[in-house]
Order: sequence, then C-alpha cells, then structure tokens
Amino acid sequence: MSRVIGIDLGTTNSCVAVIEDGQPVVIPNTGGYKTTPSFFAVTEDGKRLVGHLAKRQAITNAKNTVYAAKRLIGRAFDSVEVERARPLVPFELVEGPNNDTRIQVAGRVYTISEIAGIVLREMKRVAEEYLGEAVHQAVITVPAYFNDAQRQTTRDAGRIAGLEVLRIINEPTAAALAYGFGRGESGKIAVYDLGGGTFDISILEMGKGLIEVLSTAGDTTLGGEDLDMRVLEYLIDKFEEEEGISLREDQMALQRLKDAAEKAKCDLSQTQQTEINLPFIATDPGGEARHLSEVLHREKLEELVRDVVGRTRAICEAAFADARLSPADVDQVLLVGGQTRMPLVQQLATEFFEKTPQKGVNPDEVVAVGAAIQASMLAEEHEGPLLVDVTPLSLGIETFGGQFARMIERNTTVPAARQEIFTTTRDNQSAVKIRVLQGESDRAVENNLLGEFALTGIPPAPKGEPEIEVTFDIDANGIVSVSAKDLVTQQAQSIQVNPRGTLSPEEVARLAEEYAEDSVRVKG
Amino acid sequence: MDPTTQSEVTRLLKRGLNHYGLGDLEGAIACWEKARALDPNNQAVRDYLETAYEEVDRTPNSHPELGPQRRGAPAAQFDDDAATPRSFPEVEVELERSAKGDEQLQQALEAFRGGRLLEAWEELNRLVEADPDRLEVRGYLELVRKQLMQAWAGEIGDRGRSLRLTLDQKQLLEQNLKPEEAFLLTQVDGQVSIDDLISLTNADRFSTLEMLARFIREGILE
Repeated sequence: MSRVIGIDLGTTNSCVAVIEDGQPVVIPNTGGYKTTPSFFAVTEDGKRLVGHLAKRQAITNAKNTVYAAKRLIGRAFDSVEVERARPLVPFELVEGPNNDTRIQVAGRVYTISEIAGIVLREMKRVAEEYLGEAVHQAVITVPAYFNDAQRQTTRDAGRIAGLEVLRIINEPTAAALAYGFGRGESGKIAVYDLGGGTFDISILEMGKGLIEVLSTAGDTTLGGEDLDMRVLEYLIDKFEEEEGISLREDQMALQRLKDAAEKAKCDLSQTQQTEINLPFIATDPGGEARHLSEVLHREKLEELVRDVVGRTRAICEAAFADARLSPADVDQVLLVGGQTRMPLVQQLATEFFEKTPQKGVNPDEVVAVGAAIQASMLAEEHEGPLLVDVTPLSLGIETFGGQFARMIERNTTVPAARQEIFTTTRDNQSAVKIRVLQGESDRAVENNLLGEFALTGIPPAPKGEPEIEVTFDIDANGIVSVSAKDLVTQQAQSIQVNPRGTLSPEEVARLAEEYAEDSVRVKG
Repeated sequence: MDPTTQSEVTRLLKRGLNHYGLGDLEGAIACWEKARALDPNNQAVRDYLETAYEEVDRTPNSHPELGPQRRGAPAAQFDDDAATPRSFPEVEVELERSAKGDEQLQQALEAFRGGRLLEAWEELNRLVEADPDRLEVRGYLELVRKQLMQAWAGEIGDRGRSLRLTLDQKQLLEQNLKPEEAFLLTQVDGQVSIDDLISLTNADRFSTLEMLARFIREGILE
C-alpha cells in the first residue's frame, strides 16, 4: 500500500511530510529546502515554473507569476475579498462562470483550484522523489475559517494534482497534533500562526482524546511579506537619499532588493545586525556603477515592522472574546509559521498570552507534520486523537420575508447534523424552494448562497399545515449535505452543496489528466 | 526590373525575414527561393539563402527536407503563405541609398563573411540606427544575430548543467558590471541550470546568451 502524505498548502509556502518508522519526516525538495514557495509562473519563453524558480522571477515577470492564490480560494469574483486582493496582485483576475474568480497567466485562464493543484502536484512530486514510489493519497490542511466552498475547492485541487484527499483538516488542529496533543491530556491551546501572507489565531480545547476548535480569527492580508516590504521600502528610500537614484521602477533592482530584504529579515532573527550588499544595483546618469551597501540592525527592523506585528494583537483579542475566554485561560501557546521565528513576534506573543510559547517543532513545518500524523492514522487505522473541527460560519436556509433561519450555529463541532420542521406560507402551496446559506447576517441576502433546490409535490393543504423536515449534515471534512422531506408524502429532495468556484467532476478529471501529462518545470 | 516585380521581391524578402526571425528556416528559404527566382542577381537574397542553407547543414535532422540537394529547388514546392509571420517588424524598402551607407554595409559584410561576427554586428547596428528602414541591413543584422546566438550557445555548452560564481564579493566589485549583468550573476547559485537561468532573467535571449558566454569565457562563471 502506498504511503499517505500530509501537505500544508500555504499562502506563500507549502510543505509536505510523511511518517517513516513512526517518526514524522519533512521532505526536502530538489534544492534541499523543506518548504516550497506556492508560486507558479509562465516565463517569457513559455516555460512553466513552480516553487523557488517561480518566486525568483516574481518581480521581473510579475504579470505572469501567481502567488498567494490561496487567498482567492472559493471567493466570488465580486466578493469583498477579491476586491481587496485585486490591487495587491500584479497578475490579472478574471471572472469565470458562476461569478467565480480565475487568473489569467500568459494568455491562459486558470481556475484557482488549478493553480492550487499545480502547487499540490509539485508537493506530490517532491514526496515521490524522496520516497521512490508513487503517492496517491493525502491529508491537506486549510485555515480553520475556510468555509465549505473553500474546502471543496481545496479538495478539487488535490484531485487535479492526482491525489485522493482522505481528509481536510484545520491548520491549528494539525499543529496541535504535531506537538503530540490530543492523547489524553486536557486543556486549552492557542495557536498563533503568522505565515508569509496570512495571520490566524485559533483557540483549541483538548479533552478525552478530542481536539476541538473553540474559535478562530485572522487576517488574510497580514504576514511576513508585509515585513519584507517594509525593509524593501526602507532600502529604496536610503538608496535614493544617498545616491539620488530611484529604484522603484527598476524590476531587476526590485527583485534583488526583495530577495535581500527577506534574507536580511530572516538573518536578524538570529543575529543583531546584518549586511545587505547589492553591487551594481544601478548606474548613475554618467554611466557609473552604483552599489547598495547597508548594515541593518535588529532594532531598526523592529522599528520598521512594529505596527504590522502589533496588528495581530487585536485579532487575538477578538478570538478570545468570541470564545468567551481570556489569554490566562490558555494552558499552552503554539507558534506556527516562519514569521514567528522573529524575536519581536515571540515577545508580543509572550506578553499577550502571559506565558512562554512552545517552540519545539519548526514553525514552518509543524502543520505539515500534523497532517502527516493524521495521514498515517487514517492509512493505518491507528487509534489516535479524534479531530473535532467547528463550522467557521453559521449555516441555514432562507425563510419567508428574506430571513435567515440558522440551522447550525457558527463554531459548532463537526461532524454535525440538525433537523428542523418548516411549513408553507400560502394555501395549497405545492412546492418550496430550499436556499442553503452560510453567514452571520439575519438577512438571507447578506449571506453566501451555497446552493438551492426545490421540494415539489406537496399535497394541497392550508398554509402552515404541511410539515417539511429540513436536515443539515456536515461530515468530518466540513462538506455540507442538505435534505428536505415532506412528512406526509415522505417525498424528499437533497443536495450536496456544490459551492461557487468548484469544478464539475468531469472538469476536475480533465485537468487532472492534463497536468499528469504536463511537463511543468519543477525545481526546489 | 519592373516595379511590380521589385515590389514582390521586397515583399518576399521581408516575409522570409519574418520566418527567419522566428526560427522557421523552412518558411524563410521558401520565400527567398521565390525571390531568387524573380531576381537571380539580388545579392541580399543570395546571402540570406546561403546563410539559411548553412544553418540547415549544421542541423540536418531538424529540416531533412531542406538539405543541400534542395538548393535552387523550385520555390513553388514551399508554401510560404501557410506560415504566419508574427513578430518581425514590417519595414519599407529603401530604394535610394547613400554611397556612404553602401560603404559601411560592405565593411559589415566583409566582417560577416570573414567570421568577425561581433564587428559585423556593431557595424550593422550603426547602420540601422542611422536609417532604421533599410531592409537588407536589417536582414543581415538578423542573420548575424542568429549566428552570434549559435556561437554563444556553443561556447556555453550543456545547458542542463549548473554554474558557479568564481569571484568573491571583493573581486566582484572590481568588475565593471552593468545592473543586468549583476542581476544575472545573483541568480547563479550552483544549483539552477543554465536553461533555467535564461528563463529566470526574463531578459531577451540574445543578451542573456552573450553575457553567459562572456562570463564563462572570462572565468567569472564555471
């Protein structure tokens, strides 16, 4: 039987792990790196690049390099999230069928699940190269706040990559598993996850072998990249001040500056100062070469980014308010995401939680390790902690007058099922339309429509008399099924919610075949 | 030659250059053979064809149907109109030339025929700069460009291998590099293949090959 891998499909970096001889192993890519940038590009000469190579030309080939596509997963083209993302990305977002969001690269339009599938296929390839065997199954992690549409899209991406997705699990839950939690101990854990492009805080509760997400909050546009940009801006300003030359429009210079800014930021997590040398970065009007040489101190870096890091505090407060807890109620704090290596971040977390965070597992790898642990449990049917996730948003149906009737409240643990009886609003009404919604507004129109269907053949009766039983069912992967049954005729209709942006099984199969044969360039 | 024929020869020359610029030797030869049939004494057409056939000889497997035995084959056997020109700029032929321009062109062609490709390249570029509309100059420039790229590619060798920078920071600063050269060197990490380096620069292939060949020649990269 082939091995099941665990994949952390990240906004800026992805990571794959597997259990070998009972121990988690984070698999390095061709370049020896244990994380791979979630970047995809098509170069001037039509070559497709994934990972580090794609990232290394992200500025010089900005229009045709896709990154942070995870922010767009399951988002409608006219949604606030897409509106917010549009000015932040240099690549072109286009509207697909059913108002879903797609990305145009080098003249071809890609679905978001395709882009995520390309990254997942690369992670699959990395694992296969390491294991020396084909890999067909995986556990993939997603942020705890991902709604049904986003989970479905991630599942499609897995299929496009040629993977059967055995389970979609929440990232904070995976982190807790990696730290060995959930094996009998009880208590509350806060997972503070500051990655390259997003920030999430989740509060988990453990007990009797269960891990439950109590609440989660985050910002999908806050991450290490923002810190890099602050350093980049600082270097540009310094150079302009000293040399009178602006590098803002020079793509090659910006690419070098961006790479150097990220490296300097990482170095300063270990040392107090670092030197940034970019020789021949520009030429002056007389044709003389100009070099950028700067010593950056940790103190200066912290001054540049303090407000960005500080934004995580308010988000943490919101998550605690939602869980009706205070930081003092938490027993353990886990740091996740490469950016939590920064001493300033650790200091903020220590101050906020009033305790020293756990640092035993590499923060870049901890989520993939947790996914691999879950994968191994599923593959070998091991007894292990039961993962209990929650619904990130309330689920319900539209009722008379455009009202939203909540059936399953936000933060309900899954799997879950709820039944409720509804009735007609007109005499002799022969059919009802069930509109399945997700959201927190009392007005149906302000929530996300996940799907709709009609129950017909209701026998003539005065209004309010027929009994229509509506059942909501969410499985362990967070996939929602809704059914409606007329209790008189026993006639029933049901729907598995096929959210916006999710491809049909035929489209997924076609893309999986296409990419299986594709010669996507893969390099560490 | 009557103006209609002259115009057709010009059209075929341009069309052939379009194909040639896109690496479509078959299409280029088809056009130029038609032009030669109309104007057998046209020196530019003869030079273009000679270069194109030499290229075919160098890569016999890529165009077996265009081997030397096909030289002078009836133009009708090739369908130049089937191929679509895409990128080479449309230019108007210049009918009146200055004597000075001719002299410079002769010098450039002498360098070209003598295998002094860089000299020919510089000379032809000066001519194009002075008069961008000279069709035959642009044609020769294209021929030289392709030959230079082939020469540099030959110098670079196996593009699947990785390169390493031989200079330390101090030695690097002693070089007189342009920003694009420095950018290329920063992409060299001992892991990425030459082929990928060329893609990573996203610059035009001509300059990238030139830089790489020069850096290897000068021992900056190995």
